[in-house]
Amino acid sequence: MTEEQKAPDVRQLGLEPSDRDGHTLEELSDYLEAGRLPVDPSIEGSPGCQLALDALERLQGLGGQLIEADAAARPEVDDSWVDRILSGIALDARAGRRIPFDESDPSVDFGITEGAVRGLIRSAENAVPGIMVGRSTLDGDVTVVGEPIRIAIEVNAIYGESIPTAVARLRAEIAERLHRQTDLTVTSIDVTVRDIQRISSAAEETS
Amino acid sequence: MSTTALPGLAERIEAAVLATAGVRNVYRAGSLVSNIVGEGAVAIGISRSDEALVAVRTDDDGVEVEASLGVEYSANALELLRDVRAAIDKVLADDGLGPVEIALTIAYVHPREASSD
Amino acid sequence: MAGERFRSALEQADDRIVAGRAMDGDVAAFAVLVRRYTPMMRAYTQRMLNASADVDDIVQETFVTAWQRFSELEDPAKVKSWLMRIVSRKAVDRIRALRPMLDVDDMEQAAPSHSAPARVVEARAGIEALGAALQELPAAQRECWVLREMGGYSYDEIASELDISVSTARGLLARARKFMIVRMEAWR
Repeated sequence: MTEEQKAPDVRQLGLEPSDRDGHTLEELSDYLEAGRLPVDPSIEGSPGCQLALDALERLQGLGGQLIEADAAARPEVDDSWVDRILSGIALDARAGRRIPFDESDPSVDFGITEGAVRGLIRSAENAVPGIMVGRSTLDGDVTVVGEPIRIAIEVNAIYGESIPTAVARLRAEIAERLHRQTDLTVTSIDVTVRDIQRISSAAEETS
Repeated sequence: MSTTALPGLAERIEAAVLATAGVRNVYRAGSLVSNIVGEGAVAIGISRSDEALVAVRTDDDGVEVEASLGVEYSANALELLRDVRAAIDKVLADDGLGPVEIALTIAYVHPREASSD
Repeated sequence: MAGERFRSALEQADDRIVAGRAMDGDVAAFAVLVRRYTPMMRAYTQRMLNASADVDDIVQETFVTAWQRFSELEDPAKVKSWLMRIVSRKAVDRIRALRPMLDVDDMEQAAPSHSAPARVVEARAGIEALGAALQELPAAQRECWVLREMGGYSYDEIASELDISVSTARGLLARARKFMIVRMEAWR
């Protein structure tokens, strides 16, 4: 049995200049990327150009999928990789400003980092099942004792829990933790609910 | 550059700090390192056998001590820091050193619920 | 266990929340980002370099840089494209360190011959064909194509990254596309 190897007929793809009625491949690429607008009658009216555009479009479509396909084909990321990354970063890079305590003795200087305070704010969610805390900001000059500070927090609400109740509880938890662990003068705690999140937990999956 | 007036002074201060109720970690000033320990990422202090974690400087005016701490969640952090200060004072008094300036920074507060997990 | 459930919740949280926490110093959230985007970053880097040796180093350096420079991320929801830009820059830096000058011969490379020796033509799925064709591209054309189609860079940005003119970038991209179309048609 013979196999007939047919070289692809490139002319059928509209890739040779003579097929494209004077339009370059670059031109057609740009035309495609512009969403074929504004409509160019000379391009749209040329069969060679149409073929080339079809081929370019197929290529572009696949191109967008390639990275997903590549990523999906890769092995899972394991703990040793995450460890490798984490051991290479300096955590105090995110420590932020130093927040002083209100201690009058001049021979001591007591403080807490902004990073530690944000950690405190995040930990408040442990007491509030319906909330996951995202980014938090301390507005105001925290380096000066007594300066009024406004706390702004972005959160996701967990599907199924009452949002107003959860938010109120979160505020109370944060206020208490900050009161105990810092000397910040907190004037307000603004909570913005960004999204509702569904969580599948092991408990749900096995029930 | 930190120097110690007496050999092992920084280490003894560090031990006294760690022995204070409510203190869990002493970090080398300026660096926190994290590793995945068990189920979650926990901030731990790096410890080097050749270098103390507490910074101690001595000059003509006296002694300066500086430390970065990881603490338990407590009823009052300021009181905790005062306790640490008292512990440091005692070590220095035992050595006949003074006056002393102490700078303490809380770099991490272990979550209140951490022990219940 | 509360810890397990929470960890699962964090892993399922959207980029805005996870990156927001990571920017604030939450190491667990940063670890979620590492797990979430390492495969994509590795894939992209491999395609740019067409080699696997330096990939993990580049991805690691990217995460270290991201941690240091988190304050430059204005919108945590955009952390994915932010990370991809950083890794792309580092991949190009690596390429340029190894090859300071663009190889002019690359630009003159002919498209695949139509008279290839007779052989069994395998039918290949589109993505596989694309991936294989990409590996055959000369370096400069491949880099342009990856920056454009996988990185979403504009022509100006490609020109800037590779230190070439915009018209050179256009030309390289057109050649790359032509090569790939012909190659992939040959496999249909």
